[in-house]
Amino acid sequence: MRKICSCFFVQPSVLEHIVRNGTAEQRELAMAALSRDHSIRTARLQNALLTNLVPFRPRPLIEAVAGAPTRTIYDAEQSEEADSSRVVRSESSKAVSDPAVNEAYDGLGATFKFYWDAYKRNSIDDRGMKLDGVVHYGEKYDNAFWNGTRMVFGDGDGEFLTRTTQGVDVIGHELTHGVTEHTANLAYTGQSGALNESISDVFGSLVKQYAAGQTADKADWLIGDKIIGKALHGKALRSMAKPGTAFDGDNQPAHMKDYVRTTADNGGVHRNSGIPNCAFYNVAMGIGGHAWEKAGLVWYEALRDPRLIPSSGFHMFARITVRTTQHHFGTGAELKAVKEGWEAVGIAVS
Amino acid sequence: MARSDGFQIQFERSGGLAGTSVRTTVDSARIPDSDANELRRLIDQVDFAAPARPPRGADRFQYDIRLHRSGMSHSITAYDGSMAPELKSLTDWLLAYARRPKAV
Repeated sequence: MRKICSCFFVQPSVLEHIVRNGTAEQRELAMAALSRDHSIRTARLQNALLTNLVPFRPRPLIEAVAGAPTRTIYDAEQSEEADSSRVVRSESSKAVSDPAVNEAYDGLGATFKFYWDAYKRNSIDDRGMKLDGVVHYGEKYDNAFWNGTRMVFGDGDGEFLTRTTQGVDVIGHELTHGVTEHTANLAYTGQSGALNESISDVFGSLVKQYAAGQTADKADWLIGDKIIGKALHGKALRSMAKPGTAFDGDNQPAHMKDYVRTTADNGGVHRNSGIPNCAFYNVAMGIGGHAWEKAGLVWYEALRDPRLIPSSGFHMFARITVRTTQHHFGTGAELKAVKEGWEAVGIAVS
Repeated sequence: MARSDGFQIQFERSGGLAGTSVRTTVDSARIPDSDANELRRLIDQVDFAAPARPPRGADRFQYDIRLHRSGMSHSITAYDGSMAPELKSLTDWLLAYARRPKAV
């Protein structure tokens, strides 16, 4: 019987030093040594090294056994304690009588399934991170947010926003903030922040489209249509197809010439996101079919590309989507759609 | 309360998932004395020199407060999830005031 040696003669930390500082040949040998050890610790180290060093982030070496989420829903009981420890539903347990709990559970499940089915991404960190949702945050709290570890949902005041768990796109939006934090980690301010916001809208919308089995031309391209209250007088919080038209006070730009400079909202992150949102819509419509299959794949791979760094803005992201499209689909109709999609919002890409 | 202790406040809450802003301005001379006294009490407890600490995460509300008092201006920016309790009391009061139906 052939025995594969999985014991270490050189400590992982030494190999790490070689990978980081050695010659190309030394690096290759060190990586090979690491790959022969199948311990989780070593695989994590190797994944981290690959993430930092290789242009296209490869799949982690430990594949998830199955695409199954680990969800826990907590109840903040109207307090502003996002770290509530009151568990109201955990993975594989039955539905409860509280609709907010079930909506959060189902929405996180739909988002996990989308990322797994479409891109084989295993949760927020691609390593099976557990999905923690918090419902009933605050009193009549008009918001949902990502706090760095959990997705937190307010009940809304019923006037401006209704129960925020009602929108699967909203849940997808919040979970995607976690995905972004674990990939490009786009700084949440100014243009990188607007790109961060747009990424959340793009995949939030795709979660909704995937769940409905919709092609790009059949999708509504709206964000928050299920949670907008009467006081905002509109059909949704944002329109990716026509930014600035979702409700009466919607002031999102759809073109770089209208880019907003402001100190509010972390530098207008929820306003200028209209520009890349519209670019994605243009690209998805230009390519046609299911938006997650090609346009979504390009956006996802661009988000994972190490050239996208925390300070990156629209132009860098656009350039990476072009390269990614060439890499996956060559120089045909897809590339034309991507270039034209960006150019239509005032972002020229060569 | 002495009229010389008058103040004006400009308040904005921005950001959040919806990205809609709530704004209001308050002039102590134009609101009931009880409101002005309560607001003065809340303001006096806030450290306007404390730096803003943006919390980890995304879609948090941002609060911007500009206070004009005794010929001086003070500004502070804060975020849900990383605010001192005294500042939180002030933003809660101003948000409720902004949403209070006003006599025209």
